[in-house]
Amino acid sequence: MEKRIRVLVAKPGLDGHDRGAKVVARALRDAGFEVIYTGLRQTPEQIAEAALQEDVNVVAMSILSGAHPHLFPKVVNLVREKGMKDVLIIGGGVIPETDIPALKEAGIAEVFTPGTPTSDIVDFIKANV
Amino acid sequence: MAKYTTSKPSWVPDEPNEKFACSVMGGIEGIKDTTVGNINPNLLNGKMKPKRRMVLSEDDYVNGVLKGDRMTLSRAITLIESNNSKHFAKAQRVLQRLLPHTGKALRIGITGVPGAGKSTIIEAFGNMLCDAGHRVAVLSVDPTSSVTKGSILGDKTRMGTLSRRQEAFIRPSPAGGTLGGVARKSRETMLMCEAAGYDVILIETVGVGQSETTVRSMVDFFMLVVLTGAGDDLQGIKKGIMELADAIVINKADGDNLLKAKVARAEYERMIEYIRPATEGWPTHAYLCSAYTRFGLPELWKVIQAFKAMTTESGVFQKRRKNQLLSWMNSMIDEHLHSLFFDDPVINGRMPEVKEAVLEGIISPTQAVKELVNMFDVDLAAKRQVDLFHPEAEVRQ
Ligand code: B12
Ligand SMILES: Nc1nc2c(ncn2[C@@H]2O[C@H](COP(=O)(O)OP(=O)(O)OP(=O)(O)O)[C@@H](O)[C@H]2O)c(=O)[nH]1
Ligand SMILES: [Mg+2]
Repeated sequence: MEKRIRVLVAKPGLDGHDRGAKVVARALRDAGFEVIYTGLRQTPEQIAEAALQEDVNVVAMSILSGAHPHLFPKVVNLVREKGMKDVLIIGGGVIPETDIPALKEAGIAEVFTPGTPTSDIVDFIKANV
Repeated sequence: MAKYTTSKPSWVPDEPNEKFACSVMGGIEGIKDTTVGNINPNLLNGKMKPKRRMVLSEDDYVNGVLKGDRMTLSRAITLIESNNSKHFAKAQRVLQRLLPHTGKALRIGITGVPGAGKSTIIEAFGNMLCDAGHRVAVLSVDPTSSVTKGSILGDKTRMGTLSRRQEAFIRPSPAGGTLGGVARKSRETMLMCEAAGYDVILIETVGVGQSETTVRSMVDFFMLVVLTGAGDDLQGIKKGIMELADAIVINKADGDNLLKAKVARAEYERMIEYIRPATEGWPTHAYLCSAYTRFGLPELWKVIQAFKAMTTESGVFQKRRKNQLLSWMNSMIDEHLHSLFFDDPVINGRMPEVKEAVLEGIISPTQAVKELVNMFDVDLAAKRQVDLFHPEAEVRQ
């Protein structure tokens, strides 16, 4: 039996660019994952709570506005604080390469920038969950 | 130094300035030198990968849920939802141990057409109950979801504030799949929440098709959310659902809509008169509310309290719960026998021929059933014979 993988696709902050998040959500669904999409403008607290209540294996965040250095680490901390030490957290969107090391330092496992084939995201999740 | 592969999407100019943010990152395969590019060194070669998913023991589940630990509850529900037979067995053992701690919550079902405002009511009503000191679990039953392909679940957006509260727990329904499907999983999820100390269970289901009957059979109080403008054309469709409801709630009674809602209420009251009440001794009525302004919601809670008091007094409450248990068992037996029969290879092999014969008028349907069942019996008996020679096969079960 195929392993069941649940993914929370989340849009933290006030960024309204949701196309990428929706594209990723659909691609993950088509790859057989169970996807929960939070909708726009979620606080880090809301995202961490949703991750907990939905018992997801992956939290996947999308930000195109530039707020990632602030919001990504916040979500990571909240998720870990709530006891989900084994949840994979990834991010994507318009993220300058120079910001990526710090995000990884903060606990984001991988960052996917514009142009990423969605199959890469699927493969990454399959390899790391 | 190893070359880290990044490439630019096609729409990037040939000579972008260095601050241009967009590029395609290569995968992590084959990259040795982690000092360049985009690789999280912790992920290389599988070392220090994010921790493998914690495996909880039966005791962990039981103790965690009883303590009201939300993460354990969440994981216990995942266990219940799993279609893996090993998980199934474990889930059942956990449930068995939690069973004595269940049954204390008030179970409320909420149905209505899409867009009636069920989720928004749950958000407002749930917040109100949490403020009053209750702990609220919100589930949903969606018969249309399937597990064969992935799915996009969840309607967290309509419950933005409730989903953040520590007193609330929101978990939309699992997909069906095998081993009993949606009905079993929703029931068992409800029991888990009760064991974790949630004392009000709200179950949302869309009022189309079979799901409202499923939900009715697992709740104490069932309400139908409707909109204004109860046209004559809708009466026929809704009658079936109205017969299941203990209350009809006309939502969106706010702003310009209030007057229309009052008219609708009178109309519904008239319709109800011709309908047998869903609960013995409890007269179904129509009520107004607005999930936006919270108008009518405290009154609705009072109605539900009165319902509980009255039916507990008369014993109808307890009787319904007992009947629900038995009918749950019966429907699971039905389902089990059904799949036992239709998944049987011998039956499957013979079926086309028998169907053909029935259609040709060579044998009657009654005769066909007799022969098929007979074949099924013989097949079962034969399997038992085989098992005698392979006793270990029995153990594996
Ligand atoms: C379309 C677009 C819009 C649309 C958005 C429509 C929508 N509903 O999404 C509209 C016109 C509304 C818009 C508005 C604005 N935009 Co705009 N917009 C874009 C644009 C051109 C394309 C974004 C897009 O949809 N790409 C297609 C999707 C599929 O790709 P993607 O999101 O990048 O996703 C891929 C990867 O990044 C990754 N990924 C993304 N998310 C995730 C998540 C996970 C978990 C994973 C694993 C991967 C992943 O995988 C995806 C597939 O490869 C970008 C420029 C660009 N080319 O990126 C600017 C851009 C994002 N916008 C920008 C700006 C400034 C704005 C505005 C502020 C403009 C203004 N002053 O009003 C507003 C703000 C709107 C708001 N409320 O937030 C800037 C952001 C600058 C920055 N970050 O520093 C950009 C980068 C343009 C620029 N170069 O200046 N925008
Ligand atoms: N004016 C007004 N609008 C409301 C009220 N309650 C809900 N709505 C709106 O009605 C729409 C549907 O609300 P939902 O709560 O999603 O309805 P639902 O019954 O859960 O719908 P499904 O889950 O799709 O079956 C939303 O746009 C709400 O904002 C209300 O009390 N007043
Ligand atoms: Mg809804």
